[in-house]
Amino acid sequence: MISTPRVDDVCILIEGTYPYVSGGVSSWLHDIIRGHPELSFSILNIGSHVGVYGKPRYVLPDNVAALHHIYCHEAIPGVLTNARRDALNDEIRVLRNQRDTRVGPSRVLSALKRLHLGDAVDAGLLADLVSDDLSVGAFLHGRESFQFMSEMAEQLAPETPFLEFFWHCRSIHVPILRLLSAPIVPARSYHALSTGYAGLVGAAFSVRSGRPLVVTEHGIYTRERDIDLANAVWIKDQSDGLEEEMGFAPTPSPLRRVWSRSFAALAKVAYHQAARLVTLSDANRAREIADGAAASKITIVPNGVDVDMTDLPTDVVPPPKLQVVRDAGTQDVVPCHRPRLRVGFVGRVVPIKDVITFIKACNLAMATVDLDVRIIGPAEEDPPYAQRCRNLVETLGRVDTIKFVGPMPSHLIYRDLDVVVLTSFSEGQPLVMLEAYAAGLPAIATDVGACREMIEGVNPADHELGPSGFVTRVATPIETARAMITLAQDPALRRRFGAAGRHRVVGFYQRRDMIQSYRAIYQDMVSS
Amino acid sequence: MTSVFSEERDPAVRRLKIAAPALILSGSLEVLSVLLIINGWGGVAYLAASLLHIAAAAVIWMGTRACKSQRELMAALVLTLPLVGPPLAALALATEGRGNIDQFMPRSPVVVRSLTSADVRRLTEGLSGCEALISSDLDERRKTLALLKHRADSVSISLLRWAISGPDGDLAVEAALVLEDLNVRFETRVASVRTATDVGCTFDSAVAAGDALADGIHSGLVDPELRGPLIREARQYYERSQSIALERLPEMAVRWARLELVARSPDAALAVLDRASLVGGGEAFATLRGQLLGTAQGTLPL
Repeated sequence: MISTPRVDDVCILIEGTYPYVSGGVSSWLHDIIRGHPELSFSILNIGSHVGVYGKPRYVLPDNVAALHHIYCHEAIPGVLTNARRDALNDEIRVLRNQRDTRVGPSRVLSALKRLHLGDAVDAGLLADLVSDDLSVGAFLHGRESFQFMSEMAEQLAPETPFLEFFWHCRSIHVPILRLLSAPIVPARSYHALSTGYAGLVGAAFSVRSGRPLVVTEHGIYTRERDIDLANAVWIKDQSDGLEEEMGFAPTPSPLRRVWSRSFAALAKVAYHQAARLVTLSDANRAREIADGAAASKITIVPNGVDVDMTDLPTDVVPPPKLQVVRDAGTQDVVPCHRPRLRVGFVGRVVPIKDVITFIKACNLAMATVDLDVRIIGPAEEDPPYAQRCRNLVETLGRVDTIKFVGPMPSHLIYRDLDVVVLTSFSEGQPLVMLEAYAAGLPAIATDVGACREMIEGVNPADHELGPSGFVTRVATPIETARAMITLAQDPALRRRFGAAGRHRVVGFYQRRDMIQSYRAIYQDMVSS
Repeated sequence: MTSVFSEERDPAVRRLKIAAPALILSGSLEVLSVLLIINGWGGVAYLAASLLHIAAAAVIWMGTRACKSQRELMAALVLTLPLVGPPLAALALATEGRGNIDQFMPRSPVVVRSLTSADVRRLTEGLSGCEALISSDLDERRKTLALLKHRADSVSISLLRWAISGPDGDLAVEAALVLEDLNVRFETRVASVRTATDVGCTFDSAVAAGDALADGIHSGLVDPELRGPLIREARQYYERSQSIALERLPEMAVRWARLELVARSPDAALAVLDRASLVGGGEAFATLRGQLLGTAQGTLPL
């Protein structure tokens, strides 16, 4: 008896988060899967290498039939013994022989070349890309791939030493080839939660199976990679001894551009193959179109949270009267006590969230108002950064007022806060802001991702609600501090913002609406 | 080559007329020297021929009244090419250059206009820091950010802060990341010098610690709210170095004084300089004076 492989309704393709890392995208996906109990899901988690994850942070819902893993790189090898080295040499020999069996030039290499040179993605290119006629071994050891690398070096980074380009070129392509040759996970539809590697695998599965692909982008993947690449220390900028001596700056390595373009090319592949593109905001939509996505494919489905509808505020509560005294010297009226504000930063303590700026802003604001500050979120992802944050708090002498409280269940977070502050360098559509709104709290957030839309409104009906907080510039503690001071000194404004936020989340960011939108998309995809 | 013998008004013809006696004399001397050699009157004849050859070149050099470069060319031709040198020199004098770029330019009157930004860019062969930062060329922008990160001086940090405050969100994030990176570098350096002084505090390690902290303060990298504690710490390191080796105070007195000025303590700055002068004597005073003059001229913003 031949067993037929199980075919689930939706195969989710995700890069290294759910169910192992808690955070925005993971909890969003958890919500989506639980919101569709009538559908069966499988999850394909794309990781960097075996053993990179610890214990799962989420219990998989019952409608998840399988959790698969594929890895961009082989497991990190241990110390090579002589026997293992011999075995490895044998493997390499076999791979070299395999390379010789292919007739004609590699279609995969041809497709990769076109991608690097910025050709438009079309069906022919995608068919070539997924033709699977180039193994990783053949790429690493074959003559044709060496020729490919030489050509690419001349075209893409002629000023870079070839040896350096060679190793980077390998690093760029090995994950791509490994993922392209991954065994297909049968499903009626594929849902990639980003472009990049997840989008690539989604496109490959979609082409090979003929089933539709939907891509959801929370943040813009290529933009986030660009931020990573801008500060990547593993790409060496070019300088020679003389330049160093003369005090000239090293020239940024063209390899940063090569990497950046390769991620942009992967995004184009996903954008082309996707039947639907889902994004969170107008700002992201504009970026996707600029990156080559067809506007007609894009649907905006904002994130959503559950809202308790029983205690919606109806009007603005007047501010409590402050006791006043007259200043002895100037006879000016001054309040007899300093306003106090409970401020929360909710998120991972990692550089992209710029917790340092948040701490500096709190310190600045504390010169004028009293703050009770909590940094709520896991700090173990980047221990050196978390330590820097703690050191800063200590240097500023704010250990008693700025506290790192670690992760907390969301229903406990907001009841003891007056305002939620985000100082991130990059965001999609932060769930913490929606949760804060649902709890009737205003938000202060940097002008990244969809934050401005979430605070000021996105359409006329939304604008009518008025702002639900303040938008600040990135890495500008003084602006964040000013916003905190204003909210601390003006409880009426705080309440007005809180009420606007709550109305905003009820009107435009409800979980049930988000689930409904995805239900329609999934039904369309599954039945097509 | 364009010959212009037919046109008397042409400057080349005028030059030739003026130079004709010298050219003829030079040619005659050359003929005479050749005759001397042909007649074979021995070593004396060779010597005389050589002298006549040199005289022919000298006549060209002195008698043609052409411009210097032309005279040099003609004399060189006469010297290097016996007998045929003078005719070639005449040709050189009569030749109007046509390899000049202005030959292909339209002969329209020159219109004087004010400089545009494009002209300025061409003149300076590069963009200003601000222009390069707001350039739509991603590579240009990254190159500039890399330059600012490398220099990390007060101007660079001001530019980065300017970029953060600008309307371009992408640039703001990139500039903020560079600034963050500089902060990490600064903190790492400070941590390392602190450790060095903890392990074994010497004059040099204490000065290095004070300098590391002072650099962050002078460059503007350290936020104003953090300045106070860091200034106090830097001052402590300088005081420790002074207590370890008072006689070496002049080596770092100016840096310490600058720190005191940033801390708005001019009296303390003067006191440091006075002590350094007393300790080091006249020579130290001269050194300090030189350093301070350098400061006044803008190398070290006080």
